[in-house]
Amino acid sequence: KAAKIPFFQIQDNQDGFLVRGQITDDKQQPIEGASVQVLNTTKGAITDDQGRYQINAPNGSSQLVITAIGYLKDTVSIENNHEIDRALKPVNGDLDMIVVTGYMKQKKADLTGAISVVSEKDLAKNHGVTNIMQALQGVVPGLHITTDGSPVGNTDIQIRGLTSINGASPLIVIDGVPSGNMNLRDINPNNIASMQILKDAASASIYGAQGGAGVILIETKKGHLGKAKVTYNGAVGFSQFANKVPMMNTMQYGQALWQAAVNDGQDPNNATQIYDYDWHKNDQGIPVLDKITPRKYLNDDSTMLAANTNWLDAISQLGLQQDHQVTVSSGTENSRTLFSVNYNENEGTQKYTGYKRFTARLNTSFDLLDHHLTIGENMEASHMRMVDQNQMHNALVEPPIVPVHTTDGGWGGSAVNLGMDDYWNPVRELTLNKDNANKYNKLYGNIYADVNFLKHFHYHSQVGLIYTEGYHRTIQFTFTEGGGKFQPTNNVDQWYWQAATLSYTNTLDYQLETGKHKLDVLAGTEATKYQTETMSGNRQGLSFENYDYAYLSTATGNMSVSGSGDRYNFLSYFGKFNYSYDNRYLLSGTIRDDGSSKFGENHKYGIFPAFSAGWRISQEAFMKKFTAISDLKLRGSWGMNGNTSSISSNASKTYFVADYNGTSYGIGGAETGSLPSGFRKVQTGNPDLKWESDRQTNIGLDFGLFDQRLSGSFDVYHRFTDGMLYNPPYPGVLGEGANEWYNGASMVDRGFEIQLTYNSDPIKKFHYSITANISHNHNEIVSVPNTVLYTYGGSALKDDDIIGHPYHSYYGFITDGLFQTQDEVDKAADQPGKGIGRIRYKDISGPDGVPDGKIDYDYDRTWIGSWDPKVEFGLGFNASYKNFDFSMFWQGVAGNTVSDGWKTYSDFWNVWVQSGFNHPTRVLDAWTPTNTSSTIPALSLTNANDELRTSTYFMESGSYLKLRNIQLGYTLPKAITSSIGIEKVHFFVVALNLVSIKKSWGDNAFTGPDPENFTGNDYSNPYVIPRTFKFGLDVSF
Amino acid sequence: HKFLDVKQQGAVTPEDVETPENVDGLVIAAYAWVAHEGIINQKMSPWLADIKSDDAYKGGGGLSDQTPWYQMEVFSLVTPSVGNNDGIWFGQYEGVSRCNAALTALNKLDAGSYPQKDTRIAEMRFLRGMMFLQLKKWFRWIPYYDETVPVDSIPKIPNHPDTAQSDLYIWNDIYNDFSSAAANLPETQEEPGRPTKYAAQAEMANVLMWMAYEEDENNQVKTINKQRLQQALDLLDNIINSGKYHLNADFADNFEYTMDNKSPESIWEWQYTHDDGTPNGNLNGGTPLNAPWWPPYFSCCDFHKPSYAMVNAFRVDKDGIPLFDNYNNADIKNKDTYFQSNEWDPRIGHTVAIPGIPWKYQQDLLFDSSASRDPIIYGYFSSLKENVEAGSPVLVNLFWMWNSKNETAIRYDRVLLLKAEALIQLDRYKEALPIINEIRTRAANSTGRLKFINGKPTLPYDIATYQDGVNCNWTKAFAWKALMWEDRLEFAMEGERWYDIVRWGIADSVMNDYFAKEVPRARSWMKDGKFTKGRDEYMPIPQPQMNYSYGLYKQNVGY
Repeated sequence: KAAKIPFFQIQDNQDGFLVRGQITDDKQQPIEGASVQVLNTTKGAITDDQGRYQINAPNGSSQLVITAIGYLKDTVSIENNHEIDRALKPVNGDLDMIVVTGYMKQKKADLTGAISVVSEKDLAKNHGVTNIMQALQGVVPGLHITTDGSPVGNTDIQIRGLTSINGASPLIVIDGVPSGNMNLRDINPNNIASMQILKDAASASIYGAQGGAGVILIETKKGHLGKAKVTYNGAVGFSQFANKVPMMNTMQYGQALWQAAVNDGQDPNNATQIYDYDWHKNDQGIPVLDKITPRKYLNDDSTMLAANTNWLDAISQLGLQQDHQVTVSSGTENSRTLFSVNYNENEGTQKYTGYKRFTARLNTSFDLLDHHLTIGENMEASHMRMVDQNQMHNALVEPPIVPVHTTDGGWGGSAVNLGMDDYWNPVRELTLNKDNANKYNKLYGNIYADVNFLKHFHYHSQVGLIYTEGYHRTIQFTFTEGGGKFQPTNNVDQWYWQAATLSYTNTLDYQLETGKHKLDVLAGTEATKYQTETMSGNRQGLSFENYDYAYLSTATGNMSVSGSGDRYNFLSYFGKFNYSYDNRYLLSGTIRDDGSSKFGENHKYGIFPAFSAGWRISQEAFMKKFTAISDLKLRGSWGMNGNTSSISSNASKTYFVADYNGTSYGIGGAETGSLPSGFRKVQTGNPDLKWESDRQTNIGLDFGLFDQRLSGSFDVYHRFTDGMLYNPPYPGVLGEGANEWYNGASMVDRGFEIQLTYNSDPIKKFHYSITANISHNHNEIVSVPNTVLYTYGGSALKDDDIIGHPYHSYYGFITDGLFQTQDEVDKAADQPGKGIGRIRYKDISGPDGVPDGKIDYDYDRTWIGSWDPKVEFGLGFNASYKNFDFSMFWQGVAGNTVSDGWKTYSDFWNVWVQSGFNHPTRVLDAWTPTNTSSTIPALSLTNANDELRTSTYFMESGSYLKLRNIQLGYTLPKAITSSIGIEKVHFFVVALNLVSIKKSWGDNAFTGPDPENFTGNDYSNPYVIPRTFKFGLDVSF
Repeated sequence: HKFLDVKQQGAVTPEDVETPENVDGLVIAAYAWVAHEGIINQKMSPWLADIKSDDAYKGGGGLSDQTPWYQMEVFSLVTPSVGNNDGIWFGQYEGVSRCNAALTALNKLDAGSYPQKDTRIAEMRFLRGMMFLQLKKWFRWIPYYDETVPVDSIPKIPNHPDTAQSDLYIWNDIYNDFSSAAANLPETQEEPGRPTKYAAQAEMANVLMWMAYEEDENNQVKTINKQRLQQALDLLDNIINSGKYHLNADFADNFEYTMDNKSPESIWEWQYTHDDGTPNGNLNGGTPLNAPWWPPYFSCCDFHKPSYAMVNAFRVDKDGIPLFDNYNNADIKNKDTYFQSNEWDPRIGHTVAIPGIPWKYQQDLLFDSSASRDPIIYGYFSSLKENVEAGSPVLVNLFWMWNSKNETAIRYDRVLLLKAEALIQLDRYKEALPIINEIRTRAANSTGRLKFINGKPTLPYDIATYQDGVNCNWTKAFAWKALMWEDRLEFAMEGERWYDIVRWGIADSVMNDYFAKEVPRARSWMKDGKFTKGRDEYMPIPQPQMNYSYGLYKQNVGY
């Protein structure tokens, strides 16, 4: 078969000569798409599907440089040989992979810090995920990601435990632009080529005062040299409400209410107007329920017929998921372009909720002046629309007897006129607010210029921009529910917000390679400017409740407007060097001097140094005999960096504000009309305010065995966080505006991370790989200023503050089962509200340090657990056989104690303000005189025993193991696709969160639906993580 | 570097506001503090004191609805960590700090550039006195400081120094704020929201009446100081003799928004407004929880429920005289027959909403049982005085029911009854008789709005004046009993009762008798009701403040 003509024309002329040949791998299989370049010229070619190339090389050409993805770079002398065939060696594991390290790049083999890389291949499995971080749970050891089930992709990210009690998040750097205010949800994951996670301080300290919580570097996909290539990646599927809690039906609700009333010695018929009970007391005096008759109509109009509504079903839907991406990329000798458009939609598992995002990206670069100048840009624009409603709480509590709709088509709702408490019909809420969306436009990226000069110098200059605007126009609708609840007034709300971060970065890099010495030195400056403004208005009184009509100007009633702004700047100087000797001894150093307008007058600048060193033991001569060891490197690093994320721009200053809503007063005595107003103090300044400082030591070992078939790394670290920012509560006598930001508390995180990868023999047809990682982190508060010692738990009277405990700790009572008999009640310690069937709390201490026969908050609480997992792990399995590919990924955490807030729904009749809530069916198994083995306290109409208090009753295991991702794919045989002019067609099916295993046995079994979302308590509106199924297609032309 | 000089946005410096042009902004902000302070945890709402007395139950949606208030009304569950207590401390001192911020600025100005200097200083001292007075009545032992104390020294002021022989020094500081205010305030103010000389004198007298009942370390009244009573009497006479104030013909006018700043009985009132450019109005932050649970008229939240004991206290005998000793021996089994078969002091009609009779003088709107949110626990009555008519223009429905009716801080009937009290304690009890009768006569004349639409009285009302030797024997002991009764009925549900029984030293017996009577009335939740003498007269210093002071503050006795 004849070679195809490469995509740019070959011309034979007197200035050059033709070079041609074939590029193969070491098994003589042709490599398609390899780049063959004549050294120091602009001439080059790309190999065709037979691995063939030809180049019109200029006279005097000396060498060819051959590169191909997955293979080692090869250089060959041309001399007089014009037929050059080369066999490329595959990359040895990923040791030769180029890793972006922040303003610089390094070969992975030369890294001395703790940096994890997520490659394009890893990312490719996350079809259509809304937020890239959702896909990374468990993938990178030490990267702790929590998510909820909401469709908008909320995540919370921590690198190596808690960096700060202020919950600092890692710095995101996209294509070299530090993006302190970037929400990863806003980035189209399909455009990400790689992510590098800088975990130790030595790696992150090049970002100085912003690197304290670690850094995530993101590189977006760029155009490759070669012919224009069009790819389509798409996935369509649905998500469903997983682990739906079984709720009581109408009769069960009536039964539980009856039980609660008789337990309290009340006549149940007095406790409700909704149910009618026939009941009696048996010979032992135990109440027995004979018959429940629910009321037939729940309102005077007889339009609200008693129902049997499962409100969880009523609010649920199968959420449509779809993601479509078209990418066009091409590269010529002098320019490269990647253009992509994407549409992502993620409907929630609750009706009328969801997220939509349109994205377009254009990355281009131009080589000018004979490769001495490169200019380019990377830019992504997106539009997002979110309806982030959540009615879970209302759906969990609305009694089942309430119908969704009245018989005349109106809304059903709480029968308040019959004494029901004030619940909200969640379906009505979801429906009325279905178009009350928040919208965001985002533009972010950079423009840059690179200059190569004097052989060793490289100058890079870039302007980065992150611009976001958010807006909404929402209507609060009037409504009437059949039961009497109503909203008499409507209003329209218009909100507009914009924020921009502009950064200007300049670096100069000097690279020298001479003999066994390799040196790379960089110096740079960076200036960052942030500004934001927001305004919003609200006005009551809309004559027509529709979006075409409703604007602030068309409403006629009371209105309120507000607006605010903020700005701050950063100015930084930094330098870094990497040195290696003989590929054996590696040394790096970093220093950054960061200034910020946020810092107090006395600390305008902070200096952040770091050092690291590595020893590639496997390169030593004495290791040659250990042929099984292909790589062995010992690394060590120490560094310091800072965290400023929680300092507001005014944090160091004393200031007053004019606040009409807070300082106006009708001194003149009129009932209406505008008022005189004044100023109030907001904050006391602290000229000494500065960044939180982190000092971290890391020791790591990288190893590879059997030609890198088995490779891995092990890291241990110790981080000391000092001068944590806090705005502590203060003595009341100091009065308004006495709040002041301080650098005070300190804490330690220490832990280890292990990562292992095994690849099966690449020659075999059945190929598989296994990756596994495990990490451990322990957090401990070391010091807290005296005056606020007990703000984080503990009792001053008992002297048991949080020092020495993880910040994420629970402080509460220890329970001791339920009281079974009056005798037990009488003999127990003095406990207000105690009684038969009630929770017994342990008397653990008193004023004299010994149990005092009295249960109280001051002496009988203690530290009862931490919700930080002891270990987190991930386990991946990938396999391919012929045209099939398969992968699955398991993730889990273990060893934590969580407060299972779901129990406040499922284990009590009434512990909250509002009464008469519906509950999960667990309450039906509550303690009664005839069900004494139950661990669920007797139902009661009141909560005299204060059982909502933090106690071991709620403490359960937070361990879980989840099958995050499982997928099966099939690639059409090339014979079929090439005949229709298509390069590749790949189908796949994928399921997310298909299996979820919790600890469901033992004393600390988790009784709620999902220990990953354990805070189901109170009004926190738990959103259970859904299960998702998708089908997808990848096509490239 | 200049690049780092970024000015704060939307804010001003202390120097910017301490000028003659802007200092009024600090003064007005100090007034505004009461109108704007947070509600649930912070507002020192008068009615919070009622739930600690024998006049009212907490109400709301059961015991879990603001549990701390439940703990306060049964006393035995109160600990230094009790909720909704720290906020009161915090909030009142925030008010103090607004006054001090204004005073600091005012002190720096010279009267030439700012002619109102002395008056404004007096107003701020008056307001500061009001803040400290609330703290003093609630906590007893508190740190006092004025605007001259440097910020760094404020946290070092003890609340209860070991060297203190008594708490009189704190009372003196508060007294001095009011007396300095009285010396510099005019007799009338152009703007009704500003206090006058007489308002300050009334507060001086109020403070003296507290100081007169001297308490020992265990909160027990030891001696009654006649000299202070005489001082108070002189001040009260001064107010009375000014001729600027007199009783409204109808008691109802004290509780109607239409009388805002118009009542001849009002000496000073907190100003509330609506449709004023703020989102919902500068509404009374103390009362939005207190409307009935009664759609469509009121949506929420049914707090501050009259106790059955207090309702009974309005019963009179056949001569129209209170049932001093047996008033609480009857139980309300059947509301209709109970109310029609007894005779009542007319003030009950202005104080208590009773099912079957009109709500707040609205003859076309009968209050009913469905308006009670948790009747099994808190009964069927609601409080009227702080509430307004259904559909009132000053009512703002934000689910919580807010209103912009002014709240009278000092009323002339209080001045009169304080005078009667001083006279009785000074053994001039005969002179107290006409004063108490003046109050009762006005009450007797206040039935004009207590009628059904057909003109019939809403209840069998009856009230008589005391006639020495005719319907009573006006001894000092009887006069004292009559005075205490009059205070209870006149100011029922207005937050005075609790402080009166503490001041008089009778909280222990009143409250424990009350619990004994109420528990059998299906108030089983009151079984933890137990007043501990020598402790429960005052609230504990909030544990967070104890913690922040790091050993400086001394906890109140008994906690």
